[in-house]
Amino acid sequence: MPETLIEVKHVTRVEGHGNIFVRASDGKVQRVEWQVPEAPRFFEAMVRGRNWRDIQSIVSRICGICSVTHSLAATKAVENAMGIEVSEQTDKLRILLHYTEQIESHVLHVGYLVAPDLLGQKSVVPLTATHPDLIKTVITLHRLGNEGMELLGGRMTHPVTIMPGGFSRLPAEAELRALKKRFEDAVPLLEALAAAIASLAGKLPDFNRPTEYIALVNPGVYTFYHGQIGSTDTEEKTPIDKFESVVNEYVSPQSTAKWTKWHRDSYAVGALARFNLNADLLLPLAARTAASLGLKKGCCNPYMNSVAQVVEVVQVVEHGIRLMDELLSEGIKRESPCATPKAGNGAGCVEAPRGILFHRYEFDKTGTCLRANICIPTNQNHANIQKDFESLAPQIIGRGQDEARLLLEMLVRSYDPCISCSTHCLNVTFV
Amino acid sequence: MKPEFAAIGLGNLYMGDDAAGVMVVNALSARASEFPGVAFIDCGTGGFAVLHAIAGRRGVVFVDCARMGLEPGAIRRFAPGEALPAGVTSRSSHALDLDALIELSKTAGECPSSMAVLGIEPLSTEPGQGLSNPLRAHFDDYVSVLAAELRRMIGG
Repeated sequence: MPETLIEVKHVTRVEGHGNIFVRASDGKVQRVEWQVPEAPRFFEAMVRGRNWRDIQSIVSRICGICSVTHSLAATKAVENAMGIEVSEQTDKLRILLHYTEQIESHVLHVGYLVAPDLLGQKSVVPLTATHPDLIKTVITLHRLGNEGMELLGGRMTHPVTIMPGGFSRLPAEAELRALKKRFEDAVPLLEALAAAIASLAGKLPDFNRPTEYIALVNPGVYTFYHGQIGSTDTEEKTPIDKFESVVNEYVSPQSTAKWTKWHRDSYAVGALARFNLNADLLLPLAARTAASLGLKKGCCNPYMNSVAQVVEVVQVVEHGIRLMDELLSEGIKRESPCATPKAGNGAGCVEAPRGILFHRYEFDKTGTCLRANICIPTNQNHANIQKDFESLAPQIIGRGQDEARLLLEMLVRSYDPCISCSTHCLNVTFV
Repeated sequence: MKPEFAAIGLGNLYMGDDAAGVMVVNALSARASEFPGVAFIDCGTGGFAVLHAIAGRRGVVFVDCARMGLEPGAIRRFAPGEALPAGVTSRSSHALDLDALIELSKTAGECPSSMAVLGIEPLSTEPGQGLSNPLRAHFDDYVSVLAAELRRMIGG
């Protein structure tokens, strides 16, 4: 049998640059690699010497998709370092803001980036002609996320209202009521999206590999914001302040990004990880959605991460409505967050759409940042993608180069990787 | 009420000349009273968020750092469809693919009837704050070009 060479530079419909390399001969895989050639961007160096009040604004620029997540993780770390407490109202509003980003990011991934795979297209554009109703649903739901972020974060991307101790601007009760109405109106659209994905779920490859999943866990709630670090490999919970002992970052020669491992050679984070650790805590509609999509706790099929994202969108809409009910019944109270800097070292953690995200900062007594450490979810998934490749490639290499390539690309996309989040400068050729 | 027109800056403030579009829009927004009916929006590297920023407006001007093969600092106006994203094979959420966004916007029935892009040729898009010398030297011109484009669009 002739030699098979699969070389994808770069994988499309993901954020950033990642390459797939497979060499096989006589039907046997000789070498398979998930390569990350993206240039590092040194945000940890950029924040050194900067004021504690500026950190969340700077690091929000790490990503245009999950800028709220980075701002929140940074703010929690700063508050942890400075010993700043926040009100229950601030907590709820931050969680609500965080939910709007989960909606925005998950709908973007499932609707714009994964749906073309399931419908046999190279991009979302042809779907505007073949599936206009689905695309309108996706746009409406995506907009709900974006405009929710604009209301609560002050902008559609890169929020400006989040600050240590609270918010620089609070939503008016009328604005919150309007947002709640939009969340309620989104429920039938979510049901339509779930039905569309259910009808296509059979097109997701049936590939299972026992995997360690890591996510935030917090008693009584399917959490994205508070809690400790949980793993499917252990009952033990790890405090956020010890996150370095979980991620165990190391350098891989095939990647410019660091890789991580804990109890095994690799672990996975993201929607499927959260689901596997918290499925019992889903609210009723989200639980029904999971059942209708055939998603069960303990699922080790990475392609099902996109399905878990659909379930999570339902979960955050359902819980978001409850949160807004509570906020409105209590009334929005004016707050004047104020704090004085002090020397300290603190870690912060939230669940980014793509998985658990850690930030750590150290400050001197004037509040000047001395050092930073940021561990993003995609870095934590790189080693697991490699391990999936090593298991999957031998199973599919006999199916022909085109199908094998597509299945490997789909696997990468299922992780919803955010490989770089760097500049997006246009390269233009005039016609 | 949503303004009928928008000037949308695209770019990353922490990646050198990539910030040009955002900085130009922010600079003109200081004179927003001269442009009633215009929203000045920093979309960052927002990708698909741009879809919502343009929805339902009559006209939109994008200002973005663009590699066009011109001298660093040059500015050029072009219309969506007039340019191909060379070397970009993906519909990434971070690559501004105007064609894809416009198709989606049309499907939703909310695409502006008038759109233009002001591309600014960068010298460097390496990490760091502040524009390079060629772009700094022409910065006031960029703001004037955007102002003229908006006036033309509103008047048209």
